[in-house]
Amino acid sequence: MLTTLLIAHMLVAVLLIGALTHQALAAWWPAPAGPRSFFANFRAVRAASYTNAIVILYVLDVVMGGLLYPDYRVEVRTFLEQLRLKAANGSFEIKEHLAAIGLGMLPVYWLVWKSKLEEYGSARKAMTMVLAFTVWWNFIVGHLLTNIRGFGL
Amino acid sequence: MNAMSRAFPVFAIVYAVVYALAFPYDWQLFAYYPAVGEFHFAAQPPTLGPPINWYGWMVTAAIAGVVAAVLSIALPARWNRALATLAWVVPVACIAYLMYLARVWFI
Repeated sequence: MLTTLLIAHMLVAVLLIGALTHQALAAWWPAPAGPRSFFANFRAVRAASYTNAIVILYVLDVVMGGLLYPDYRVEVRTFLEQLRLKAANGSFEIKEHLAAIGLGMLPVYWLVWKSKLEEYGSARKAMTMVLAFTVWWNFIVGHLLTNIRGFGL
Repeated sequence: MNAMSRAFPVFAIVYAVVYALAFPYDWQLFAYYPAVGEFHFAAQPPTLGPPINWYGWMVTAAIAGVVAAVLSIALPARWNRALATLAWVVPVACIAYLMYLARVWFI
């Protein structure tokens, strides 16, 4: 059950990374008109259309992470402390802070993307970038910790 | 939409600030002790195993955020633009502060 939940947590994170990266690049670096390269096509999306999916996926991923946390706290963190892997513990601590702060930003993130007001343009870009950074950090740290025994530590 | 234009940014601002303070000052509303599967409002002896305060920090921050968001509806609409900017600047500053606190793990 725990393994299934962990895999589902990671798969939702993959979807979230894809959606947020598309949206962030489309917001910061709009694709030009006319024939496009592969990278320009990656940015040539209707950025606002990702908003609801991002909010739902983010909440879902935090809930799943929250359900996994008790086992991490008892089993994994104790293991990391015994091996004195301080940086690994610190990276996870930052992961939980980023997830929590990002969760609190979701209502206003949703608002600035749903509103057509031009005055929200810079807030739209900045909030998307903050959430994208959050999700990328958490995804990488989560994978490193899951596979930490494979690093020969 | 107009009330949300103030309530949602204020929620993000206050939530981030209270969360960033809840972590170093132990303002968690409750703690969960996973080894015994119990929630407690007060700190427990080490025999119960390590606590998880993260849930409690988020709930504390969410309560403060909701209260502030409700009060913010009374603010004038001309604050909307400034609040939208603060709604990402303040969380970014809080993230930087929390990362600064986490430096002890890396030195």
